[in-house]
Amino acid sequence: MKTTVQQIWGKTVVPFNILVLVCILYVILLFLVAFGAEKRAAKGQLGWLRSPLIYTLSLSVYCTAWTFYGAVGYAARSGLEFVTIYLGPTLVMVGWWWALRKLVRIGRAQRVTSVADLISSRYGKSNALGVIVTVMAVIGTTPYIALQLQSVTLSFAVFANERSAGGALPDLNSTALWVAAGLAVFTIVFGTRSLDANERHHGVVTAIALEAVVKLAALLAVGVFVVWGVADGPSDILARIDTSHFSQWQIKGERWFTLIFLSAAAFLTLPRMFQVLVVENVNERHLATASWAFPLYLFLISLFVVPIAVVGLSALPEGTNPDLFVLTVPLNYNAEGLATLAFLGGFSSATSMVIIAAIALSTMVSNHIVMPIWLSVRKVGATVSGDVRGVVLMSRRVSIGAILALGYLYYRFSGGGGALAAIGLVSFAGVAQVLPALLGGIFWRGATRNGAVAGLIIGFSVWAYSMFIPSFGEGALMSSAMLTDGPWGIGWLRPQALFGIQGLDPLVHAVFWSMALNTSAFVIGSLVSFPGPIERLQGAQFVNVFEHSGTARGWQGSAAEAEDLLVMAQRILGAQQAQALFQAESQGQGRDGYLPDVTADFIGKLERELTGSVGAATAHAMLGQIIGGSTVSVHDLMAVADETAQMLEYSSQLEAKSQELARTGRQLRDANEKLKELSIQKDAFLSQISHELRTPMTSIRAFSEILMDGGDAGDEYRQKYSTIIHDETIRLTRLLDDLLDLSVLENGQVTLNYSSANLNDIISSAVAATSSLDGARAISILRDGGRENLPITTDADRLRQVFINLIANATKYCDARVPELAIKARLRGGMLVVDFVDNGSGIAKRSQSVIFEKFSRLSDHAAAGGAGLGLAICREIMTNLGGQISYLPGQGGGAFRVTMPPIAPKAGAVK
Amino acid sequence: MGKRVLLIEDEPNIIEAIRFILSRDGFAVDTHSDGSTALQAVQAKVPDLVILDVMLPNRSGFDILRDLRAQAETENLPVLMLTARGQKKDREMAERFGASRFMTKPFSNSEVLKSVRELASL
Amino acid sequence: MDAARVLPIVGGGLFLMPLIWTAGSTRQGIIYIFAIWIGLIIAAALLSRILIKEPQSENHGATDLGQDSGSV
Repeated sequence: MKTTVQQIWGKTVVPFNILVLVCILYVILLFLVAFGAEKRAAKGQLGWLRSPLIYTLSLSVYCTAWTFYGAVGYAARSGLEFVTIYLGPTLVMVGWWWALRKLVRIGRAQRVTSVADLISSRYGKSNALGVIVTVMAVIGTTPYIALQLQSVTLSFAVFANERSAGGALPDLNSTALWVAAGLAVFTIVFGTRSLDANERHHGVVTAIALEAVVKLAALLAVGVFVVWGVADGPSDILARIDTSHFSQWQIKGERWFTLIFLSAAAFLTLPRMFQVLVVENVNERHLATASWAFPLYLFLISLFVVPIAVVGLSALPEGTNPDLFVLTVPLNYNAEGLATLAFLGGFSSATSMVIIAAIALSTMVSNHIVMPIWLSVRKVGATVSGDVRGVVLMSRRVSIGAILALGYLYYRFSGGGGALAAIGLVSFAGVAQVLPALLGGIFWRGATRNGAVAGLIIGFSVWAYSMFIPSFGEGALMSSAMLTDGPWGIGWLRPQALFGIQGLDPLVHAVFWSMALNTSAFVIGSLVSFPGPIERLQGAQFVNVFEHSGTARGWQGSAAEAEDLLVMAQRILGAQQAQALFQAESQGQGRDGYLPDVTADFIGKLERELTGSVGAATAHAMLGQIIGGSTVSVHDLMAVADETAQMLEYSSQLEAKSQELARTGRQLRDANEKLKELSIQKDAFLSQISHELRTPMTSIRAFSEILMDGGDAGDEYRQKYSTIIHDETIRLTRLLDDLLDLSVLENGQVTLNYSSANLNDIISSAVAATSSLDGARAISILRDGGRENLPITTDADRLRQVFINLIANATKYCDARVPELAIKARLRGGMLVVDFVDNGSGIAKRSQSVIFEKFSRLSDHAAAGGAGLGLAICREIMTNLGGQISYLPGQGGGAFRVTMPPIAPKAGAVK
Repeated sequence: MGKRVLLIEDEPNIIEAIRFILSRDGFAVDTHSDGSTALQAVQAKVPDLVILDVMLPNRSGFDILRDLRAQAETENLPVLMLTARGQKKDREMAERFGASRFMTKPFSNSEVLKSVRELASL
Repeated sequence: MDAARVLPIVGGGLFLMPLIWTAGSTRQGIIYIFAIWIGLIIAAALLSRILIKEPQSENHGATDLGQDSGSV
């Protein structure tokens, strides 16, 4: 290379020192422009800073030194093929409605910070994918940065050569080092001023726009100089083309097609292009302007490439490096000013690319590699003290330095070898491996993380094996034997003839196989795997970005404390901005002056803000640490689930209702049973009453009719039948009395008259009452008057009624020849106990349980009177007096026991 | 010799009344008071007519009627049922079991006499 | 909108036309490619005007993001 440079004629014009001075002045200008833009942005006076023009010009980072110098060299070697590198991006821009518009919208909605962040975010905020893409981008971009350093160094050398007679030739390596260091400083100063990558680097973008103007102006100036200064206008140029060695149309079809495809793919996936296209985009409408303005820029850049090449080829000696024609042609014609402008153009091309690439890569490295490691090392993470903001910024600065250092080292150790264009294409093919995952991610909801990982790894591996490693040259990293015979002599694994396909251009071969295998792995991997919930949600958000402009909300009402969140947010966003954010949220929630409620919405908003600073995966992880990872039941899934939930709720309501119905039904059935039972009881009771009433009435009617007939019935009969009628009416009356009595007792409506009495007196009075009954048989009553002498407070009349009933029963039913009734009273266990035991046959065992029921008259002793209500009445009376009456089995005869308290409970209450 | 009537009834006053009415008209009246032995009393000496109470001690009049109808010799024996339970379902039950006639207590003496006369003359 | 989608496909097809050329000179190639190129640019410029003026039915919620860029 040096020999080439030295072959330039020594027509000294621009002293090297002046060149360095111009260069430094230019850099200072860039600093001032960037600084001024930052200031204006800080004051909110964006004005022209966010015009579509600036956006369009910033896209020119696509045109690197490779374009500026290399395109001419490319044209000098291969004719018109160089134009494919611009046709691809032109088609992408013209077709912005397809992909770019969507990418920009997604980038804005999801606060995407880089192409790695986009892929990571799309496939479930997977940091593994972020790491893969980042590594690929670093590997693919490093040679490219080296290429820029090389071009700047070479262009310096062109001028330095002029001084070679009078002074020492500056060391090319140290020039490269100085350039790299200067670029690092500029990038760090303007690229890491603000943390939020989404807040856009107005200073940098403005400086880039200025550089875009410079390089276009320089190339156009050289072009005009060549066409109208050196040659005699366009027709002369066309004539010279016809006589040049590439006058014949010799385009290789497969290369032509492959290069257009490759440049289009790289335009979308190059980290620096993604940075300016998506991340730095301030308004979607700018895209509409850029859709024609940027192709126009590319058109103008390309317009004079072929003329410069043909003039250079014809005017400069054989063997001159065509990559530097842009500089050497003006120098050759003593146009020093023009040459200096061209130098600045080349310098601009190289620096703008390096700056943007460094910013893009440092964001990726910091967000996807440094921060996750830092977070996992400090497990306690986001809540401990320490400024995460500082950590993020520092990691970005270090990353910028490291990336430039890497570029410099690559430049040093590759020895600046190979044609510029070749390195550019290798790099293009490397980053293009992201394309299937990227396009699949925004157009295909079925694309999954596993598919993306498989595609990326396979594509990248094939690229490295068939293109990247061989690009170092035979014998560098890969032995020539391996290239010609394949590894271990396996022919179909030859890096540049995979699967035995030979004769293809190596570039086409590598692009074909890497993209084909990449895409296949991506599609197959996606089809055979299932996305997780976040992935599903993100997939929908990305693919349908125009339908729901809303953003992913992955957080549910959570236990997170607003204070913890504020602490973390302050450390990432900065105290002022974080507080402003929280304050705005408080106001929105109507809680001015307090911390906002931690709603899912708010957490979603906060996550987006943090995403802008540290990337989706990291932001998600940091919030997850505070909120607890389990809260990721996703909002949109919830929306889908809502329907299900509503149905579930409805069906559970139905179920509840049907249970209630069943319960009610059961209750109704029970009630019905009860009613039926009551009805049966009532029927039975009425039937009994009817029978009990009709029987005496029958007698009364029959005998009264006999008496009415008069006739032959004698006085004897008349007397007898009148008596029967009389007795039966008394029976009827007593029955009605008993019924009323029982009814009153059963309903608890009875009025009891409590008084102090002696048990002895009550029993005596009862015995006296029974002995006076008409027609009563004689029964001897055995008593122990002394033991009966017990005081009692009760309703004496009612108690006597019970005793009378019991004595009357014994009188009626005792079937002994000499009936006896023993009455024994005593105090036992605090209760008064009175037993009535006769010497009859007693009551059959099976009947003992029913004797206290109504109408339980056991035999046909109707004549004894009573309708079988006596014992039922006794039971009710004893219950009312706080005692009880029971049948005593095994006493040798009918035996009843009456138990009661000495003082009736209700009587106590009265007193 | 008048027709023989068997009165199955437990209420003494009612027995007295019916016996008086029928005897006066020339019927021979036998009585039985216990439900459980009533069937045997009928079979021992089949009368021209049975007057049967429903609510008897130990056995229901309906059961007795059913048994009477189940045997050839008493299959067509006229039976006048008397009951103090004058409900509709009692009348239906009597008809189902094959009572010749059904009367509720309290009854009219003349109607009882008329019914007995009619049934006995069959 | 449909024209915006069709444009890059038409352009791509035209850019690939040289592949089926069997003979010709670089001179013709250059004139052809650059003519197509400038034609595409003009077409895209016209289309973008129409698309911007169209009520952005698909672009609901599109806001100018410049306001976001506060300071840190």
